[in-house]
Amino acid sequence: MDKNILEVKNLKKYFPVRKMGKKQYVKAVDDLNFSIREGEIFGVLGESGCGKSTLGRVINRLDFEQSGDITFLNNVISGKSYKSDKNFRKKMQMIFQNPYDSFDPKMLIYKSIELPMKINDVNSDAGSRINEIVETMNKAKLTPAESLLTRYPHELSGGQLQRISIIRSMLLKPKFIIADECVSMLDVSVRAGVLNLLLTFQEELNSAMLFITHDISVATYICNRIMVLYAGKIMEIAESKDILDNPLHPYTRALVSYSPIISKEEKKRFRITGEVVTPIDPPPGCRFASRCPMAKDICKKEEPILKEIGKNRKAACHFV
Amino acid sequence: MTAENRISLSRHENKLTKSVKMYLRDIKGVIGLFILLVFIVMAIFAPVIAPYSPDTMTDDVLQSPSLNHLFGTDHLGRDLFSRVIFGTRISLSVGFVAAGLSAIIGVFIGSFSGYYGGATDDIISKVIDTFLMIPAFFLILIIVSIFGSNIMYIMLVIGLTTWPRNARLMRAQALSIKEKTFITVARSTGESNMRILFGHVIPNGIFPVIANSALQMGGAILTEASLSFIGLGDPNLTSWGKLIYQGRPYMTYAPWTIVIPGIFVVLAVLAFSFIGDGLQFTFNPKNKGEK
Repeated sequence: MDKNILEVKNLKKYFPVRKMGKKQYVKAVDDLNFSIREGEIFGVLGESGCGKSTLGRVINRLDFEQSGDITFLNNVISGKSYKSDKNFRKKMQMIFQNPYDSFDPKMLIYKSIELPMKINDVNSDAGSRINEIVETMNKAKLTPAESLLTRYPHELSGGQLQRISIIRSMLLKPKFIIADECVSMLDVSVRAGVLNLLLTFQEELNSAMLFITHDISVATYICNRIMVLYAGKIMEIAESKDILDNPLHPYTRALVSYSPIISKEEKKRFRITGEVVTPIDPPPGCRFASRCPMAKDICKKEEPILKEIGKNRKAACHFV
Repeated sequence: MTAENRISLSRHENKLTKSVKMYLRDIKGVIGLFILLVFIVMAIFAPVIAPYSPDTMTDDVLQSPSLNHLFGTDHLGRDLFSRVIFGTRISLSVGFVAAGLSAIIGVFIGSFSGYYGGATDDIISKVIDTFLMIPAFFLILIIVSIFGSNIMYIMLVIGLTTWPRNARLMRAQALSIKEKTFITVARSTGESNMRILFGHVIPNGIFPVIANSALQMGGAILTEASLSFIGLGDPNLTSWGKLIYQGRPYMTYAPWTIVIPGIFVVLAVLAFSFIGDGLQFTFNPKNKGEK
């Protein structure tokens, strides 16, 4: 349980932008350090534009980092593309946000599920491939499996498609799953079903998961640990229950107090105002300083380091 | 295993019937298809349908249309009806081969350019633009005057000068398709670029090219007819355009020699343009419901 499956060191991903002829960078992911243990569900929490999806894409080798090291299963994967590399691709699978868009509209569902198995040599026999697919579909209570498999994506609902896309990934038996906002486009009524399916597979395969979300209640419901990102920087990393019960960083406190389910007492709300700082060449100091009610002069000058606070707990703030 | 077979058969049939039904709703498309089918039957069964041999000369020169000679005869006493029917073979094959070639080149170059993007796309786009600037008809004139007016050259040159439109259509499709999540999924599950290109990008983006190809078939027939009309058609073959060319000196007192082949050219172009519109209608996702 304590072995790390993924280690990220000083990971940076900048997107170049040209503004008035000057080359500037959007610092989408800026100097991240964290590690994920085997079998752990690690949440990445943050608002839009904080770099959480970019982080997932970089780890899955769909985008490439500016600098930094990523170690996956004791192999350094940063700097390599792993394009159509079976050994890598089947060990790490990603589930995407939009289920309607993650299937080829011209392909039968069955073909869409089978193709990844075929090219990754998961199951070389066509007959046993289909048996495995039907079995897994039944297990996921997607019945009647054969009728669903013979449809085209536009004939299925979002919840069904998302569950099928989870099945498609899980049939490769990945060691590591990246779930990128995998329930945020679904109806609230089907979210729980999809999440539970994801958790069932995760438990069965004993794989680790990077769970990307902007929804703090979902994150605390399924994650062991949560990393809070803000404008490309880590604000806090802690166990889920610590985040809920005792958020240390002002940004986390604001998130928790603004969550209608978690925080019932309105008057205690920890208010923040203003806009997210621009990620294009952000000012020095703490990224959150412009909105932080606790901000002092030092926050605008000096960037807080991510310091260890207690067991399994880190926060980047001058005042914790 | 059995399930797989059952799957693909039943579903694909369903999808095909759906598309066919959709196409049949468009009355213009039906008319176009009907004309084309008649032409194809004419081309295939030409020897059976034609009452005379197209090359047999008789003394009945420049006869007006009658029951004996449905479309009259030409200046050498040949039966125009038979000649038009045999001409269908040449004109239709020019249409199919030239537009087919144009579609194949266009799809490959366009999808490659759009999918890979970056510098590849810049270079290929410039090439496409350059080809678009070439006045096709004059290029054909030059080639024909250099290499002679073999029908193969004519088909080839028409194909080689009309592909940029298809390439542009395909490129635009590839540009939008490659941003879809299912392409990211394909990359994330380890599919190679070639597999993505041929397995996802082209099948999803080819329909505008197919519709455009139908239009281009009409265009190719027209181009070949124009070449023949100015006397640069293949001297050994009789296409519709050639018939018009041969009838030209007699058009004042035997107008049927040019009007009738002309009508056939117009009908063919019309049919292909109707079919093109019909296909566009069928594959437009907005027309999923009723018209």
